Amino acid sequence: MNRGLLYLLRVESVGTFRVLRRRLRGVKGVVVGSGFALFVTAILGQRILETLTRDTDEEALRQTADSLRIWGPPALLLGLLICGVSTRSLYFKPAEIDFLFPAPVSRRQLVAFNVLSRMRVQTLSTLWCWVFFLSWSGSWYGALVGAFLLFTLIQLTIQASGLLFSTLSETLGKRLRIVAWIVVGALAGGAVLAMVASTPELGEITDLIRHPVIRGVSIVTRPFVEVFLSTSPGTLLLWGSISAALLVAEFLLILLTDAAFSERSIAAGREVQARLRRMRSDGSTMGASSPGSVRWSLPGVPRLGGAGVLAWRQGLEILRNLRSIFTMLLLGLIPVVPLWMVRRRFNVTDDQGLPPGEALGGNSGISIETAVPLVVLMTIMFTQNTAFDFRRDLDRMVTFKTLPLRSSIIAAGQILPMTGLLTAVQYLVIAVLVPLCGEIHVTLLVTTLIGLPLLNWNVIALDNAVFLFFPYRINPQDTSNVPFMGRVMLTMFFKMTALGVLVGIGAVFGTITWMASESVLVTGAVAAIYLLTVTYPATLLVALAFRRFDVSRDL
Amino acid sequence: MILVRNYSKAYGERQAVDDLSFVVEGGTILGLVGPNGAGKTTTLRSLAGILPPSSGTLVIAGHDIARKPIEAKRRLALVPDDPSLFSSLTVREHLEFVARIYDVDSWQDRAAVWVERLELTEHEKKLADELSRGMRQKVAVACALLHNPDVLLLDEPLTGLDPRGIRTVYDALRQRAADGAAVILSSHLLGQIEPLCGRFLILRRGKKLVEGSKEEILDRLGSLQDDASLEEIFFEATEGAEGPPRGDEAREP
Repeated sequence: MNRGLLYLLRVESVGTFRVLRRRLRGVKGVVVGSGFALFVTAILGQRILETLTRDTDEEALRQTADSLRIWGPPALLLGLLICGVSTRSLYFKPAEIDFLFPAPVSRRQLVAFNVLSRMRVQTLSTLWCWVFFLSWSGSWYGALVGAFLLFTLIQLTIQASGLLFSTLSETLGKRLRIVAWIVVGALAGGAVLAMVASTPELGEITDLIRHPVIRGVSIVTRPFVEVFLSTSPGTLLLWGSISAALLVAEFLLILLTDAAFSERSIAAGREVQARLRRMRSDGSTMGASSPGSVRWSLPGVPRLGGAGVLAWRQGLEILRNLRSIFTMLLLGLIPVVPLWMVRRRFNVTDDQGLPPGEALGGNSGISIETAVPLVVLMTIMFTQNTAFDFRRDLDRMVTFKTLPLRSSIIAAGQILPMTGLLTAVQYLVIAVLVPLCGEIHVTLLVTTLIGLPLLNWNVIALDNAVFLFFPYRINPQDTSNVPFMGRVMLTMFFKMTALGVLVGIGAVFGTITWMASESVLVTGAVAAIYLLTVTYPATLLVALAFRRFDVSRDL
Repeated sequence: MILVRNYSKAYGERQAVDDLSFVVEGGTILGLVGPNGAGKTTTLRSLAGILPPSSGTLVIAGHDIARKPIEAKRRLALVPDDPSLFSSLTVREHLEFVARIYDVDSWQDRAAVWVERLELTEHEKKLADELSRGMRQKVAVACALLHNPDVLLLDEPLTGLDPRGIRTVYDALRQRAADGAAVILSSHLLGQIEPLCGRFLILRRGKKLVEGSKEEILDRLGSLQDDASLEEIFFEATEGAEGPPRGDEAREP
């Protein structure tokens, strides 16, 4: 390989740690770094402890291994198909396009560089997943080597698929992808349906997975599962060698293809960059989808000291991104629907031994007592991925700073639309769920309806305060998802801690009130008053964070 | 040095460049001008071997970019508009990386000259992300000049540069041209490139409107005074051309 490319691989590896070191300078860096280190240590410690103290029952371990041998290869093959179909072309970072495409290096060298570069980026992911794989693997070394080989396989498959699509015309590539998605969707849907139709012991679907055709097709992924399950260095060496040979063969095939990919890579790279730019300005994953063509408008709203105008502007953003919001909601439902179907199929019972809903006269499998916590949970999940507030306006902070408005008014104007949106969605979900439930606990329902907007306001305020104190941009040139995922986990950690304190204090008030009155209505009223009281300092906290936000820092 | 013959480039059904032909001899600086969507960036990117032409021939220093890309690329350098740098590399490492990829011996001395002339000395150890827009532009220019290319392609290289930076880049381009290099400079800053370029090529909607020295173009247009500026020539050539401006300007997909 060209020595410049090798040099680039080396200095980028060193550079990643250098960037990290520089970001950790200063008080804020130390706070963020320490918080992240604590968070990672807590997760790692928990996983390692769980592995060390796990059940060493040979029979249980054998059953887990047998189950993975049946399910692992076809599931991995399906995952690879999804990765392959999702790839439009080889992805190169903008700097790589600018420097490497006009440079005197061959296409094969560029592809080899791309593979190695992406594998370098995925090293952290490999180590991270290794910790999570430990519980199900045959040995710690099997999990480590298995994770490495698995990520390499995924990366090579993506590269191979990217090159394949580069050789096809855009129209043909698009048609092929549609057909492939239909096949993948049918396979995934078939698996879910078969599971739902299966007996509680999953007999039918296991038989289906064991079908000679499925076993034959997924033979290529079996060695990778066997590496993961290996319990001795000998078996690891055997299956590891077979897996490595398969990877080498795939790599050679990629190099032999030698397709002209530059034009398609530039186009695909531009799309990725545009998506990242939207995410960068959104501070959320919702920006990944492009805004729709809807051009609805909103009527004028009262000025409310300026907060109304800001809320109106943010409301327009919401209106024009309804498609993305709707997609997010649908995506959120994907894991819920099969779970619900399985729950119904296996007739899961509640504490009284009766199927949920049936105890209250309904037959949907849903009760209002189980629906309310789910709706409340939406507050946490929805605010993590949807941001129509300061998190979306990082590039407009200078404009906000110049506005002739009090910071608390600006904060309120920014929090209000997102609170309205989230509450509206939750009310909609409740409106759908209520007819499906049996008997309705009216007091609980009313308390929930009153409490939700107050809870939402406080959680969104918390999110914005954390964001403004520790602002972060998604780097459009960063291909690694590790920093982004790290950021998401860290903010989630901060948020949950603060929320824990908030709810904890509320629980103390609630418990005292309940013990004194034994009335859901009174307890609910006290909880609502408590949330309303917290709203003011929460808004002031956002205002303080906004005032302290330093626009001169290029994040 | 640069030969473009019947070059066309289409993105799907959109024709970005249509049957373009021109030659840039060594020692010449050609100003490539035209309205947005005229096909300037597409032409430069095809010349740099990034975008394959739909048809036609592009020759760099005697090497067809489609048939002998490595040989051709060894002799050229491209400064893209809004260049992207590697975020985790320092300025110094960018120069070393370019020196290695173009196999430049004793690059340190050459790098030191450009670092000093472009006022990058105190920024040498900074990461790309820590540089301003203008500084990043200077790094891209320094990288492009490091291997003494025979062909220099610059797409809006003056954006973000301070006056001294602009003068330094001009001096460097004049020097490279004096040493025999062929230079193509694309820019909207007509007043600034006018004294620098010996020849001009005006594109509109992917087609060549007019090409030549300022005097030759004035002769051809006929309707302007002898002391007309490049800006006046540009407006006369582009707005006088047939057909209304296109709404869907051709651009890369």
